[in-house]
Amino acid sequence: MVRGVSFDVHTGEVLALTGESGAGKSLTARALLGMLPREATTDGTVLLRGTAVTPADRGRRIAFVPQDALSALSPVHPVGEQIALALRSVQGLSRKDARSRAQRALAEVGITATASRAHPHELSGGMRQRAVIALATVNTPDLLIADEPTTSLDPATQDTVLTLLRERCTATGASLLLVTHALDAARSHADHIAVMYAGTLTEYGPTDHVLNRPLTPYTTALLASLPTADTPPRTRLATLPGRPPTPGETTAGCAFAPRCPQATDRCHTQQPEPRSLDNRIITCHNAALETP
Amino acid sequence: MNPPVPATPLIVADSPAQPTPSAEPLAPPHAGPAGQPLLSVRDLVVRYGTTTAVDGVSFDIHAGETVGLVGPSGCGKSSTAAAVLQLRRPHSGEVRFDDVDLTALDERQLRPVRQRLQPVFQDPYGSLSPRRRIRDQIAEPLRLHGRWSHSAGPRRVAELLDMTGLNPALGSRFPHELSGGQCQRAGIARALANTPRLLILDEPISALDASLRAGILNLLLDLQDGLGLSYLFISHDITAVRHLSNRILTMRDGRLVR
Repeated sequence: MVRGVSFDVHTGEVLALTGESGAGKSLTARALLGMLPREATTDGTVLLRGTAVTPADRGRRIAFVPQDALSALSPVHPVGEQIALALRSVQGLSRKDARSRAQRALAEVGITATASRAHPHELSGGMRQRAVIALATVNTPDLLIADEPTTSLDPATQDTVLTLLRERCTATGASLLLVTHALDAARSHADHIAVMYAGTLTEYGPTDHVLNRPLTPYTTALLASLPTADTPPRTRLATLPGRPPTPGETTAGCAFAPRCPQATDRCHTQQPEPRSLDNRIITCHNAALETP
Repeated sequence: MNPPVPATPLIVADSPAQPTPSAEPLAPPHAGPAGQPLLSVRDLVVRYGTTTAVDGVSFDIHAGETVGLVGPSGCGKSSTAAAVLQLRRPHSGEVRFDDVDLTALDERQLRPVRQRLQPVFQDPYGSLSPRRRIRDQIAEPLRLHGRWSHSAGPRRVAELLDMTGLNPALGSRFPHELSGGQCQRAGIARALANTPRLLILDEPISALDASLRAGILNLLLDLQDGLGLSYLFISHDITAVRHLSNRILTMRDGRLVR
């Protein structure tokens, strides 16, 4: 379902993992978290600050913010208590210390002492997501993985929550892996971006390079199909023929070849391997730097 | 014929508890073609029990015009759409379509109007029956309105499929055999069957992958140019709304805001 994906998240930076639904974004994130379904098998390595990740690291050094905050919070405990519990179990703080630290962590994400005594269902979606961010960062993880953390929120709240998420990561020294299908969110919040298509990493590199000067036909076509503030109204947009493959559907060659305007015979018969180009990693036979 | 309703004093007479609509949130500037509007909504109020979802909304849509409707979730966009379609009867207010107030019509009288006023919904699979072939679902509105004949009917279905960018051979398929984008096109083909004048598009691209959205947006633009359709286009995607719309209305807490 996902194959040959390699990328680095640098210390303190934000990496956006993007792609259309079924591209393998969430599966990649869940593999890092060790949260794959039981029938899944994996191969490859995950290094955190140079050493292999152990199951014990998960939850301590790697934290997770899911799309649905309700699934990350206990419905029967006030949010403040849940954060205090995380502090006591991971850092071994006393009841009293944990309570005051939890209060402070919630204040840092804009949740008042009164609201910290509320149960999750009494809070709005945005407030819940703030509480989850406080919960995820309170034990100062090295890496925070957020899977579509704002998709279920209003567009107006989305940017606020993403900004907060980034701030809390900077403040606690965590790197952020932001899984999102929204390229504009990636553009405004990520240092690096990884674009996935059909289980492969198509293009990975600095966000402004990839989004302003894409080297692979898929990233180029995806960007051309999205209207921007500069697109003249009512002009016809560039479209891609066909549809994304169903997850698990395999082809002999490049997965994008059936829809690719630049596909050659080789693309249909031979799978491209990831390679370095410029300051990026790309998986495409044809991509090349434009000669100036 | 009644003259167009003046767009000024707007207090709903039979609901004194309603707060007066603020200064001049109504009657948006007529950027569209002059003359009689195709759709004229005045003082629309929709309630669910004691909750007021739409609170005194007024706007016009002219022939051939696209009006975008945006706003946060729960602000009343979809309730407005449902009330315009008379799928949810409004608590008060007027929905004047082709100069007839739809709120005054009963279900039988609404039938012929519904040929000309059609919805397209968000979920491409959910808006089609999973158990019937695409061509039968597109033929259904023709049959219901007595426009089906053995010779012309299948021809019209093929024409509708072709018009929406689907190979007519796909008509024999079931919805699960099509992609989300293809199902959305089939839903549009069905909406077009009885040559409507206004489509109410409620988040028509939100469930689609990025690479398929552009195709649907292009299709909507082409159909509008070819058939002179008007659209009420509801979406969270502000760039898509800007791309398609002549004018944009913003809703918040059940009201239109600047």
